[in-house]
Amino acid sequence: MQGELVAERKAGGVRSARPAGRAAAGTLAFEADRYVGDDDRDRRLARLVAAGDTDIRVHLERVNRRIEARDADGAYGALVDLFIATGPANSGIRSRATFWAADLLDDERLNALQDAVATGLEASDPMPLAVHSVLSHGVTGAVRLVAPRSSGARVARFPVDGAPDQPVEPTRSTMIDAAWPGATPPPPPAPPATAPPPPPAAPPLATARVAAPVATATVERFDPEAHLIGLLARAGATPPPIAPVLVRGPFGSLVVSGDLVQPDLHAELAPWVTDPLPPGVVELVPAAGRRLDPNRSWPLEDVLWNLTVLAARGRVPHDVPAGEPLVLRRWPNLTRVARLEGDTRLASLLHGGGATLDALLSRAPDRAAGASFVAAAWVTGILVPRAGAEPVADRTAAPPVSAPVLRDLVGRLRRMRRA
Amino acid sequence: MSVDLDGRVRLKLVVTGPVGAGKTTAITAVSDIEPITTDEVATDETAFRKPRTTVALDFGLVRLGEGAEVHLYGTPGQDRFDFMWEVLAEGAIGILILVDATMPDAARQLGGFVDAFDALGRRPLAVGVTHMDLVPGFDLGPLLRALAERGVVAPVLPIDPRSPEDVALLIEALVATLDPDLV
Repeated sequence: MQGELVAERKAGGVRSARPAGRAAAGTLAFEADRYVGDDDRDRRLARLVAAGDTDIRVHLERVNRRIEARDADGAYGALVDLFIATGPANSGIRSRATFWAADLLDDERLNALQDAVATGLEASDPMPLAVHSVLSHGVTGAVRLVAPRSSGARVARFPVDGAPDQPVEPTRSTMIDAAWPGATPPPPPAPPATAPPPPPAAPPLATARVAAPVATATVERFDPEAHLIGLLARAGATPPPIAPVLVRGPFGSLVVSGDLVQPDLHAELAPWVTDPLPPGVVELVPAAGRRLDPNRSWPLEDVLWNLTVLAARGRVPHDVPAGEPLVLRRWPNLTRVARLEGDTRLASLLHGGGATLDALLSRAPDRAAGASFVAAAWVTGILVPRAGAEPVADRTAAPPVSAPVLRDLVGRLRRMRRA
Repeated sequence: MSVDLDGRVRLKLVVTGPVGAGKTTAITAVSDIEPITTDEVATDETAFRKPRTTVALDFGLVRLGEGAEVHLYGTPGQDRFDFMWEVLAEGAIGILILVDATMPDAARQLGGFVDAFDALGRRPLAVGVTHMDLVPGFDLGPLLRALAERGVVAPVLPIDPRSPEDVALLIEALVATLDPDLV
């Protein structure tokens, strides 16, 4: 059969062959119908792939036809062949084709393919059995006796095409919107008549870096661990196999797994965020085996940031050092979290050389907003004492710029944001 | 920065990054004019990501008071058009680099663009990460390490390049790195 195929290809005047059995895109006018046979198109496509020297469009058509037929085994086999036939430069194509078939593939097959998206496959690479692959050598085992534990989670790691080129990106958690209408921070609380309640007997926040509380006369303090954010941060720091963890209370529940959180609320969350929690009302419950729905989950860091702003109300966590320089390990996700007045200035000050708390707040356009920024950055672990941060050199030699024009630009950009 | 014969100030920002990261879309989102583009039908592997691609430059404009303008220049994403990068970077006050979170080698791509533009003169930069919604739990760590290895302190923000708010914030972050008191 292969001999006939080659003869037909010569007779048909196909212009070129692929070197070394690797497919390349867009260089060959492929017409599968020219290769007549007594069987269907799927078989002909498979034979072309088996013959090697095949245009990548043959692979993609083969994958697509099996997907349209809802043939999981066939689609997986075609994908394995695509991965074997394409070289390292074609990761985008492999990624996309895997996405097309994602809903047909079981977790084992999908994860195996995703692991090979960047590099492609060799025919002898071990993979889950692909009975419809015509290029794989059928190796299904592994030479490693010990391998890193995989969560087995089904994680989308590919671009969407076929879907819109620029899919809608989430902005801010509707949960937070509900808790914080208009994203306007509530006013600072009245000075407490008594000392804040002691923190519950629980492990400290994973994100806290300095243990000793530091009192200053210039800024109010609060204890995140006495709030819902403390439980949430602790849930996020819980490693498998205990994770995922359910934060359960009168508001419903928040499922936390790693860096994602999925809200399942039946009451407003805000009242449970702003004040310290009464003992025993909210609990952490292991939820092993529970899977998060990627379409209903939010980055834990963003949720924690927003809830901390809500809880802080112009205060900083009790353990933020007053006299030690603080530095941001990176900018917070300001396009995704609730905005605070002066947040870009504060982020820039803290991300460059760093600043002490007092120095920072003295340059904040709004002192209460500045304190809330510090609180959110501290609780999420982005803000750390400078001694604990990796030193990063500053960028130099910026060309001269016109400050008035840049101020004008910033004003224009902010109007753009409000429009 | 440049000043024309009428005394009007022109600031220049460059928007760069790999193919499909959303450069043209980002410029379109904030430009006061219909962007001038040089799109052509893609004939290489780009065709699997999008039907058309920038081959020379994109140009957008933000008008300010007293005739001042900010010019936004988008570069082609493909390496083979890198001769345009030098032309476009001339006189720019900063660089916006967009990277696509769905690309497995996003950090390497980011490092490549930082290196390429640093070779043309170090300028402040800000990094926008697009398509992050498609990669739940996307880890910014490799991108941050790529910057830190090069001694670069720069904002890295997830953005939707179609959103004027997001693109405006990224530009504001870039301005903040020039001087925090400007924002």
